[in-house]
Amino acid sequence: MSGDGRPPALELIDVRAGYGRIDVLHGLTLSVPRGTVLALLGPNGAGKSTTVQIAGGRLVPRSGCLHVAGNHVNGASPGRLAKAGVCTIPEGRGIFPNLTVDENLWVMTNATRRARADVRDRALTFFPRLAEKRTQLAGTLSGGEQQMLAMSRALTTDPELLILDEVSLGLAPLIVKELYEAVAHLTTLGIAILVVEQFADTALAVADVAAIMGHGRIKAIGAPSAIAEQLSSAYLGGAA
Amino acid sequence: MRGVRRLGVLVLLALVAAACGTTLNDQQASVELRKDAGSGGQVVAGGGGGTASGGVGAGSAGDTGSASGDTVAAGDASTAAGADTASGATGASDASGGAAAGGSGGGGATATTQPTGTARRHISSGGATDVGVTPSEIRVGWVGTITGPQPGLFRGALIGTQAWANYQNSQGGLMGRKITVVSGDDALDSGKNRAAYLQLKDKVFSFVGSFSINDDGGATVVNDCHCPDVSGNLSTAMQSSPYHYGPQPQPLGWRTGPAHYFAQKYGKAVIEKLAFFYSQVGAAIPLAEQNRRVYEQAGFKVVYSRGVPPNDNNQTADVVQMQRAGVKAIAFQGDLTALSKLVNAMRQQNFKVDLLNIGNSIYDSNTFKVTSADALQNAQIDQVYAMFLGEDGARIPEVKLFNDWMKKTDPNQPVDLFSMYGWLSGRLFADAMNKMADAGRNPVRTDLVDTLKTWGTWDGYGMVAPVQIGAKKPSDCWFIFTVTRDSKFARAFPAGDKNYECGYGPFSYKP
Amino acid sequence: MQTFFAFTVVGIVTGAIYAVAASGLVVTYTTSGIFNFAHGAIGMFMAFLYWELRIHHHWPAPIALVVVVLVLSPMLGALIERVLMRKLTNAPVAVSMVVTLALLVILLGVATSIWSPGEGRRLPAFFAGDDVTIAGVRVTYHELITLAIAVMTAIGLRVLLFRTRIGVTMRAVVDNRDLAGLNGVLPERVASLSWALGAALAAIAGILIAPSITLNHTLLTLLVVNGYAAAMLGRLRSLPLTFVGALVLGLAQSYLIGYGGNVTLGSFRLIDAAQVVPTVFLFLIVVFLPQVRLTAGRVVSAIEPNVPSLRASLAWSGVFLVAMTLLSTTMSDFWLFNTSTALVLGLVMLSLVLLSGFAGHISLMQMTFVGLGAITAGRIVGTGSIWSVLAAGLLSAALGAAVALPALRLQPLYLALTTLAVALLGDWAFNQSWGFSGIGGTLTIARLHLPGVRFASEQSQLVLLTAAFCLFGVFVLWIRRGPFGRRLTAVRDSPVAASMLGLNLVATKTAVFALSAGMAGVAGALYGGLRSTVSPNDFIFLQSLFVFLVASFGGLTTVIGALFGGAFLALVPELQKHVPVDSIQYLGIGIGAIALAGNPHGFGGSMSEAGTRLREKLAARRDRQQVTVPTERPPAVVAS
Repeated sequence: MSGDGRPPALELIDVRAGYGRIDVLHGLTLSVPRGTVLALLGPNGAGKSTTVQIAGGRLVPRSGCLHVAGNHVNGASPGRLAKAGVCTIPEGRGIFPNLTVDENLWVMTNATRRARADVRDRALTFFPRLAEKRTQLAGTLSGGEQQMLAMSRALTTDPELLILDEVSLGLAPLIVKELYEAVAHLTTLGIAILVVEQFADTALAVADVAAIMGHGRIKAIGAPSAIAEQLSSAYLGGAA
Repeated sequence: MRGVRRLGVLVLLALVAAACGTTLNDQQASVELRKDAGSGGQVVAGGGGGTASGGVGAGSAGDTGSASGDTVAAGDASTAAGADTASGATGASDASGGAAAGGSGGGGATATTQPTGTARRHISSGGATDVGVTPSEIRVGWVGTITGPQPGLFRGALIGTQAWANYQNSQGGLMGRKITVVSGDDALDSGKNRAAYLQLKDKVFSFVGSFSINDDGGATVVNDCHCPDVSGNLSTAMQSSPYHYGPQPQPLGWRTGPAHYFAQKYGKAVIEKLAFFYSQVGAAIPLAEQNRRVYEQAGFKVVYSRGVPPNDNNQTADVVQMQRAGVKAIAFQGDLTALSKLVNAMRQQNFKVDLLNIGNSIYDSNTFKVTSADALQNAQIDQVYAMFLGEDGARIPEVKLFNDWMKKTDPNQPVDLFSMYGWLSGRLFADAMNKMADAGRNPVRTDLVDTLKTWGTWDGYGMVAPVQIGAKKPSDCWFIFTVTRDSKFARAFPAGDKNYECGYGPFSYKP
Repeated sequence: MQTFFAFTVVGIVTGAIYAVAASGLVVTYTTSGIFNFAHGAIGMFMAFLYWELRIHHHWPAPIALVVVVLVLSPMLGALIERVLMRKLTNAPVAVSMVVTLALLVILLGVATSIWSPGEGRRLPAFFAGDDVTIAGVRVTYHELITLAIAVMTAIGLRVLLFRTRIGVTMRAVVDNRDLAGLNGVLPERVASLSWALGAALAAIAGILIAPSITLNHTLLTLLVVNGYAAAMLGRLRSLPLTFVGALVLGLAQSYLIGYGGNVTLGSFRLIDAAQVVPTVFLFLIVVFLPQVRLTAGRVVSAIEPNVPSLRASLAWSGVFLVAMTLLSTTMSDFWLFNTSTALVLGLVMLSLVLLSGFAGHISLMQMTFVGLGAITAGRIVGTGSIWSVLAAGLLSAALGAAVALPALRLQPLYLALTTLAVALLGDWAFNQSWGFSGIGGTLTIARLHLPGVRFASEQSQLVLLTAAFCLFGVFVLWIRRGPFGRRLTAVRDSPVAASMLGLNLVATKTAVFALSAGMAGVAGALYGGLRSTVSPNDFIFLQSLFVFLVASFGGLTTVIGALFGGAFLALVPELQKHVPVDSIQYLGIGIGAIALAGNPHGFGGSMSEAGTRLREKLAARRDRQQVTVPTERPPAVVAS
């Protein structure tokens, strides 16, 4: 799937993984080329979150390969992957509630060469709403503000690959819209993005490619419009 | 604080050391000592005479002037009766053999010449007369603390016992047989103490020199197998065993002499401002209570007292309290660590008292490693055994003999209280065995126990203030040492040649 | 007033040292999630190392300090993190506790081997002899330095955690370790740093306190228990509260000594309680401070060892009893006694199998129950009679229930700390000459006699204890198989789920604590009888710690593991006599516990697994044989 001859930003080849004795992924193969937004959809329990965990280094595959920008990175820790340009915005609030907004931004500098002030300026430029709350504990921000703070990492640390895990969950549509504007901005920079959403519409709107997961495998992959048609059957259990 | 416990152990030891030392009973000692030096040398005859007459105390005249001689006299005055009985008994048994007593009679002066030399006296028909005895060997058992939380804790006692055995063997052994020491380790645990006694009880003739604060474990074994045990005891259980006899009996009580002496010397102004410290370790408390009682009966008034837990680090608070209470005298029964913490804190706060009787745990080769001499000024410490670290080497030949053999046996083992007990236990055992030999008897356990049971006064050739072995009566005698500015221990009272003072009051048992 | 001021100064200085010690504990705990029981041991070790350089090798103080505090301690801390703790990141609390407790024991063992406790050592105070007088109290330079260091530690930590990226990152790791990773943080580096920092703070505390309590292995190690109490006030997270806690503790101790001398309660003087102030403080805080909600728990292990059927356990018991009886005729008194000791310690281990293995509660006070049992049997009821044994069980069970009740809602770590606090209180109470008398502080306990039978000889003791072990073993397995056992497992694996299923957590936990304590109490009565004499030393916290660690690697879930643990505890000291290493027992227990930390079923589990496999293999063979030679009967052993 390499569009320009360079290796894809993310590649999973025949990955099997799971927790304890339970396997969740049964030979997943997936590739996200550079500059592409891939929407990964599927019902609960299909293995989306596990896929995100594998890609972020939080879970090590039992077998199969994990490639990031062509490098074999099985077993690399999340920190190493983050330094290598994989930016995961996890499900829930991807912020440190007991640190101030400023401190949250400071921690982000672990993943980039940019200076602290640089990171702060970029984030605040994008989300001016955070500027007035710089010294406030992140845990006291509203849900939308927290997600903005989390998204700031994607905007300030120059990732090669961005993984968004259910970013819209529980947020007001207006906020979601604002967040996805940021995503759209990132696509213009040529960053590969893997969007995982249970509710597909927003994701499909920004995606170049979409895939449906079920039972630990990719069930279908194609243009967003084509995939949208298959969605209902997949969610209603037809994916098996 | 549990770890502390191990500490506690040390404390207890210290206490015990203090107490034991204490216990010696002069009279008896005197008696033994009495044998006149010459006879000691002659072994047989002299010894016999000495013993027999011991009770009388007359022998003292002939004495070389050893401390013991003096002691005796004093003792006689105050306590004569008990001593007499005991010695009478001894005398009788001695009479038959004569020789045995020689050894014991030696007293300080005699020690060197004295003839433990078994070869001559020995009579016993050869052969395996009892457990642990062969025609050429007598095995004795030693049980104490070598490993465990405090590795090497009582190794000194083992080396002391071994030093005695080496010395004894250099003199021809006992009853024509070589002495072999077989050791068992209790790792500071009474269960393992019991196990070690069980392991050795069928292999050795007698237990000699054992040292452990857990000897209550062994006591049950000794009682069951009727094995003689000649050693320094620490537990009440062992103390009360009819098969156990030690060089320093240690019943619950305290010597009264020093308290009266201090009362006279310092007067009301000082003694009515006493601070009393003791180690807050359960096992040590009863002894400390006795010590305190004796002080109070002598007129001391305790204005501040505290049980110091082993892990305590609040000595500065104690010093502040003492300053507030106007303390002029301090008594402390505890281990070296505890009391060095106190004197260091006192020094820090520049707090001085007139009388610092911080217990004879201070008499230790480690003392000046953990505290400095100027923190110990005004120290006046009463003690009931010779200054065995070497200071008494000139006046008490036994001290020198002991130190020499310690060095020959293990030059790396520091001489400590426990090694002295090991040595003394061996000496007592040898004396009893020789007495049996002189009586024409074989090494048989029951005979040994009988011999010890009827033994009168004994002073370890001046090494300890005289005690009554059979009656297990501690000594009334003691002396006082102090610390000099150049970090040395030195005798302070009684002056002159007298090794022990016996005149200020008897040993007082728990009422 | 001046006196009051004096005690205040003394208390503040003491508190300052606690504060330094406690802050190191907190730093380590928050960033790595591991409560470092070995914190004090590290401080002890470093204080000795400092003595070695400063006194023994005559290095100048500043150089020795820099080398120890800034080089060696951080290196040791980082090494510990790298070698031991990194593997524990996601391990159950119980496992990380075993490892740090084992580390404590190892450091103690190594230090005792290097620096023999028989030798006196003293660290001079800094600027010894120099002092200033404040309101009539001499305050030494050393004390001033101590204060200054505590203040500097507070400021330094504040700056580090709020004004540097690595510090903020550390806090981020505390907040959300996973997310920190996604931020490009390498949590293991942070953990290394925090362990290094924690070790350095431990070293400072050790070096500062050593001059006032002299160099003593155990004292220095345990001093940090005071730190635990202070840290607990800050719930192991808040440094400011930790400092407050330390100060309160120091002052409380000082005032108690200052003013408690005249306050008496019968023969008990308040001043004598000064040493248990930190323990009581710890207990109260743990029990009364609001707790974090119950955690969901995790699956300890995928495979539970096989639980034998009643028939099988009875059959094995019979075989064991007969074998031991036969064997007993060939053994010397010495080995009879040692084997009996192994069995009675095995009984204690069995009580832990029930409590820790099946129910998942950690107890660091098991020997306290044993001690209470022994005292009961020796003192309260006619010693030697069966009633004394029963009374021992009942009284210990009552204590168990009493400890469990307030501790029920606690998380594993807090529950463990509660038992630690109670064990220390027990140490103190046993030692207050309560229950023990005479010089040497021993208590004589008669051996059991039943109508018509006296278990007086060593041989009869062995048979008695074998029977007792079998009885308890069958009992424990019977419980495990029954409804109560299933309830225990459910509560262990997921308290939340269990309570949602309507299981009464309070009743379940109390019952299992009481049952286990009761077993330990009965074991105590038998233990006392076997030894004939006991002393407070036999039941100190350290013994409980040994029992717990050995049980952990013996196997907390199997009867055979308990037997192995008992044998290890009883027989290793025998081995020790033949090896030149002083502290082989410490090292053996420590290393064994660490090696098997990840395997909750320990040695016993491996044995059980091997047995199962063997049985399967035999069964397979039997099947084959039955096919080929259908008439042949399988050997009886296989059937059992």
